[in-house]
Amino acid sequence: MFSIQNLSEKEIEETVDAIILAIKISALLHDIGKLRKEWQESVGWKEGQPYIARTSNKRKVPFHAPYAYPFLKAFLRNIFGGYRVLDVIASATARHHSLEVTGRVKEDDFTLADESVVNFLSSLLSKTVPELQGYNLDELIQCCIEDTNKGSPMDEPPTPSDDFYFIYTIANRTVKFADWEDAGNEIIELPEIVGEEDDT
Amino acid sequence: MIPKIHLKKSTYKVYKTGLPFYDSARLIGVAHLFFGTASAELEDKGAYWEVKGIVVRRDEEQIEWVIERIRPTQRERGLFQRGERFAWKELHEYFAGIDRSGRKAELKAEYDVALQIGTEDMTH
Repeated sequence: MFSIQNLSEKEIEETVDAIILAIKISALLHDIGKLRKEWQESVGWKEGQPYIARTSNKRKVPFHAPYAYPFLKAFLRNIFGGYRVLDVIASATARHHSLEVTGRVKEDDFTLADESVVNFLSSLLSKTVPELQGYNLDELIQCCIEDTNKGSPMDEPPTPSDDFYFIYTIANRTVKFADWEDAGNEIIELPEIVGEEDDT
Repeated sequence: MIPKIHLKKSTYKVYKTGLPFYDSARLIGVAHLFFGTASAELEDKGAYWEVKGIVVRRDEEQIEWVIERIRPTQRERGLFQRGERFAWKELHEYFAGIDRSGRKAELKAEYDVALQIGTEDMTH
């Protein structure tokens, strides 16, 4: 693809870095749906307490994964520009539990736990993604919340015949493994390289 | 600092004829053959659809395979072939609305959806 695009080495490198960063941001925000008021209250959260991230009771909680699609789509497009490949990353992230996630989200269905969520997210991002320094993260997050509340139509994930299918699979695998490793507190992917100087 | 995505994009126009299934087939065809169905962005502009995406140059053989199977008329074949050569450039220009001088032009007025014409070749 890069040869067809006739990009310089430097442009290729920067493009790859941008896509990796988009996947990293997606992994960080993949559970954004758990910050909905409905989800937090269903797992026993009370105002003023730290937000709850996990529950062992999987049956009685509302869905959380689909909300990652419209939220990340807006977030990534705001940061990197209007590239369809970013929707593919958002879609792969929203499918981190189930392939049945279509991208469809109802209107006005993204009421967050409380007003502190925006501040919580912007401090998380400024600590973990130094590249975002200089962005007004509060404003950006607020804008993405509003976009998510507009609702989202179904989207089509790429098939193996699409040129961006490999990015879809990499994004999906990265988010899934990050989630599993975080939940299990165990390194699953490439454990032999953990601790070595090369942090790839 | 945020690294920049440098991928170039291209845009195609698919003018509507007013025949829903025929138009849908043409729209999906352009999206799939030039970008991949899930990699294309579609926008309804009224008389036509705008089909945008990152330039990936889908396999030309894939397009030739399709063209062989639709058994085009001589006139239709003229859209795709120049002598023995597959007219990739011309095919691109046909949907991109570029005239022979290389300028963007408002082409295909004969496919104006409001006039419900542009279907004459369907009977062949």
